Parts: sequence; C-alpha cells; structure tokens
Amino acid sequence: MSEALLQVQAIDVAYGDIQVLHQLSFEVREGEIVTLLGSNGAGKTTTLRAITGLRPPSAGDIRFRGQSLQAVPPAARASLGMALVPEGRELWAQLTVRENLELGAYGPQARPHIGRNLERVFTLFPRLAERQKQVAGSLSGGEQQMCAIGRALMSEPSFLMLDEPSLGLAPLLVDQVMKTIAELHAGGITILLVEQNLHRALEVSQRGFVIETGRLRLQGSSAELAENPEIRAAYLGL
Amino acid sequence: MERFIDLAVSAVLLAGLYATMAYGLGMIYGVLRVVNLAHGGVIMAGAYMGWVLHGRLGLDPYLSIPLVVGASYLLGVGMYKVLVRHLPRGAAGGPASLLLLFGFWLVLRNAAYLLFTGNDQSITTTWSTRSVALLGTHISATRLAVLGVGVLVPLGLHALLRHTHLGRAIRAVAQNPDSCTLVGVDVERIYTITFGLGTALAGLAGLLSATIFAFNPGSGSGELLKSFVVVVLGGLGSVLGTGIAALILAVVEVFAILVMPSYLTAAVGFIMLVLVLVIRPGGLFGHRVLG
Ligand SMILES: Nc1ncnc2c1ncn2[C@@H]1O[C@H](COP(=O)(O)OP(=O)(O)OP(=O)(O)O)[C@@H](O)[C@H]1O
Ligand SMILES: [Mg+2]
Repeated sequence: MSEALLQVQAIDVAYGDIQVLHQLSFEVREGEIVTLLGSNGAGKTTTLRAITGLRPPSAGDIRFRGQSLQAVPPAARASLGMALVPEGRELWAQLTVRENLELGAYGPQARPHIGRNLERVFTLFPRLAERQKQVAGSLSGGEQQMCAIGRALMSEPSFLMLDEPSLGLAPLLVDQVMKTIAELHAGGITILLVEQNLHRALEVSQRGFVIETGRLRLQGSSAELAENPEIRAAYLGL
Repeated sequence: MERFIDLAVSAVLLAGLYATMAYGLGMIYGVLRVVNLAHGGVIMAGAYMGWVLHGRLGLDPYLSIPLVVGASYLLGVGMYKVLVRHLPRGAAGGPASLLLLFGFWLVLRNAAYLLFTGNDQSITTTWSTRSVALLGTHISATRLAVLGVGVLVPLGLHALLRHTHLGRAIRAVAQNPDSCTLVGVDVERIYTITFGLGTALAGLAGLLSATIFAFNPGSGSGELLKSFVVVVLGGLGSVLGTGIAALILAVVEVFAILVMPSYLTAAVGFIMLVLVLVIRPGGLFGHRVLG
C-alpha cells in the first residue's frame, strides 16, 4: 500500500459564526483517484479551500507529504505540487487564454518550464491552442473548463483537486472531461475529485468519501459506494 | 483662428498631466477596490518634493523625477502597509477607507503648512520661460516636457502590465484574487506594489504640475476631482481610455474659457463628472479593467 499524500486530520472550518466542517478527517494516498461526494452545501468546496489555504481550518491539521501545511502560506502551496480547478472555473475573464495558462506557471519552480507545459496543455486541449489569443470570458463553458484544467496543469502538479468539473456542461462534454481526468490519473497525477454527478464520479474513481453537513458520513471503494442502498436512494434516485 | 490653435495646443499639453494623475487613481481602485482619497495630498506632496530638491539642491525638476517617483512609491508602500491593508475593501469598506484616507490627506496638508507655510510656490528653472515654435504658435518648453513625460509614463506602465509576469499578476489580481493565490501569486505583495505604483504616479503628477502651476499645501482637491472625471470617463486603468478621457477633459476645460467667466471653468470638471455618471455610469469605454 502506498503512503498518504494528503492527510486531513480532524479539521474544523467556519465562516464567521457558522461552523461548516466538523472534525473532518480523510486521506488520499499517492497515485489514487478519490471522489469526495456530498449534497449541496455539505462542505465539499470548503474542504478544498481549507486544503489550498484560502479558508484555513480553526482546528485540526492538514498534512501534505507528511508536512503540516499550517506554516505554509497559501500562495506557496502550488510550489509543493498541489493544484485546484475551482468550482465555477474562476478564470481571469479579461485575460487571454494564453495569459491564463501562463499565470498557472507563476510559481518559481514552474516558471522556467512555461514553454514545455504550454505545449503539453495544447496537446491535451487543441481547442485552447486555437483560442489562445481570445479572452477567457469569451469561451464556451466547456472550453472554460479546459482552460481551468489547463491552468492547473501548468505547474506540473503531482496532486490535482477538481471541484465539480462537470457542472453545467452538456453530457458529451462531461464525457470528455471525465476521460481527461482518467488520462491525467493514468499519467501519474493523484486526483481528488469533488462531484455531485455520482455515476460519473464513481465510474472514474477508485474510492470515495461522502460528507454530510461537514462530517464524514461514509467511505469505501467506488464499487461499494455504488451498491450502498442509502447512497443509491440519496444520490442516484434509485 | 490663431486663438483656436493656441487653445487646442494647450489642451493637448495638459492632457498628459491629467492622464498621469488619473492613471494612478484608476489603477489603485481597479486592483484594490479602494478609492484613494489621499491622492490629492500625494500630488501636493510630489510638488513640494520637487520644489525642495530644486530649491535646496538646485536639482532640475526633470532630473529629480526618479527621486520623486521613488519617494512617492515608498510613501505608497508605507500607506498600504500601515493603513490600507487593515481596511475592509469594496462597497462594504467604502466609508471606513474614505474617511481614513481623507484623514491621511489632512495630515499631509497640515504637515506641509508647518514645513512650508501656506504661501504659493512654483518651480521656475532657467528654461521655464523658453518656448518652441510649432504649428505656427509658440509652445512653452516646460509644457512640452510635461506632455512628453505624461505620455511616456502611462505607456511604460501599459507595457509593464501587458508584457511582464508582474504586470499579468496585477491584472489578474484585479479580476480574481483567489485564483491568483492558487497559482502562487502573493496577493498582498501585489496590492502593496500596486498601491506604491499608483502613489508614485500621483507624486510624479504633482512634480510635473509644479513646473507649470503655482501650488500651496491646500492644492490637490482640484487635481483629485479631475482624476475622478478622467477615471469615470475613461475606465479603470485602460491606458488608451485614460488618455482619451484626459484629452476630452482638457479640451472642454480649455475651451470653456471662451464661453464662461474664468472663475467658473473650475466647475467644468465637476459638471462633466455628474453628466457622465448620469448618462454613462460605466464610463465611455465600458468596463475593462487595466491593460
Ligand atoms: N463565503 C461563505 N460565507 C458563509 N457561508 C458560506 C460561505 N461559503 C459557503 N458557505 C456555507 O458553507 C456551507 C458549505 O458550503 P460549500 O460551498 O463548502 O458546500 P458544497 O458542498 O461545495 O456545496 P455545492 O455542492 O453547492 O458546491 C453551506 O451551508 C454554505 O452556505
Ligand atoms: Mg461546492
């Protein structure tokens, strides 16, 4: 068994007086592809914000490759090898596609390799190469998602988090995004995927966690979760 | 006709100064969502810096540009680190930051009264009175120099914003700071640099203006108002928009002399501000931020 790449240890996260995550713990091991499941408002995005440092936990600890992230400023975390494709893409709408991608390699480790990684991203998403001079705000939803994934890949992350990458995309595009995620995983990137689209998520991932109102509710292999009657009732409408 | 050309030329010459003034205000608002009400105070401070360097050290105002710009940049960095960083931003933080920055202006103003008294000053050099013959009229050499600097500096900043990693990061922070943090941009550092650059532009504008106009510690409010008009008219930090808006303001102000008594021309900027806010609240050139 490979060792834990990411350890979330009993974290509490609050927005003002409202506590959103309660003693949440889970692990992602090197080389895995794991899905974090949960209904609207369960705290999935908040979990990823805690990991990236945008919303630091008020209690508990998060470790990456064994190192506590408490003392690592959020802007320094990309250099450790983690990247996030945020919910709703969060591109810089008035910058060009190429500028969005180049900024993905802003960190000191990534900057010398901009050329190589641009090429990699353009090979993965030829559409982005065609549109590189357009501002990101003018792209279609699917292209924006590609751009957001491409931006995250520009720093050559070893650990990639994706927050509902299929949200708002047509079924055909969802297929493509899921296929890309599977390819990235096959290429050696450890992946933490947040999804509401349970079917698709469990298809591509090996394991899953379910959180409910900020607490860990269930975990297991994707096959187990897909068979779980509670989950089938709650998420698959079966 | 000759008078018309004279007026047109003086409008163009003023436009560079207005653009420099306004660009700093627009840049700070565009990136930090803070209205720098101390802008007028820094313009006044820039004028006195140039005046002191000229009076005490005999330094030509154009040679003192790097010193004044550098000192104003550091002043801006200090203002950001000590004051602005702790303020709530955006619509919610409006009143708090407006009051605090206005207070800082009053401090600057009173410091200037103490140091330099309330007398009008100006920077006059040996070549202040020279002029160049152009387009059949005589153009003051200082005004030409002010125009040159006022065009070159915003263009230089435009290049910085467009073509450097730092510049791209500044534009990106203006649009989505969290995404910047995610890719490794230290957003606080960008805020500090931007506030410094905006303040440096104000200091430079003060220095340039001091070579043309008289000033005293109370100066700066007219300049602040003009900066507002240009920003509202031209958009936030769009160099072309700022340039065109500065030209429009300068033309309207200068030609207003033909149709109204001179003591009223100062109100022209204010009238334009109100008109633009009513007719085109988004500015003449849309909402583009920086670039
Ligand atoms: N900035 C915020 N301020 C206050 N409360 C917030 C904020 N962001 C999220 N919340 C609250 O925290 C809870 C968890 O939100 P979060 O966005 O993490 O959920 P989620 O699982 O990602 O939901 P979704 O599937 O809708 O994206 C929700 O109740 C939400 O209302
Ligand atoms: Mg979410």
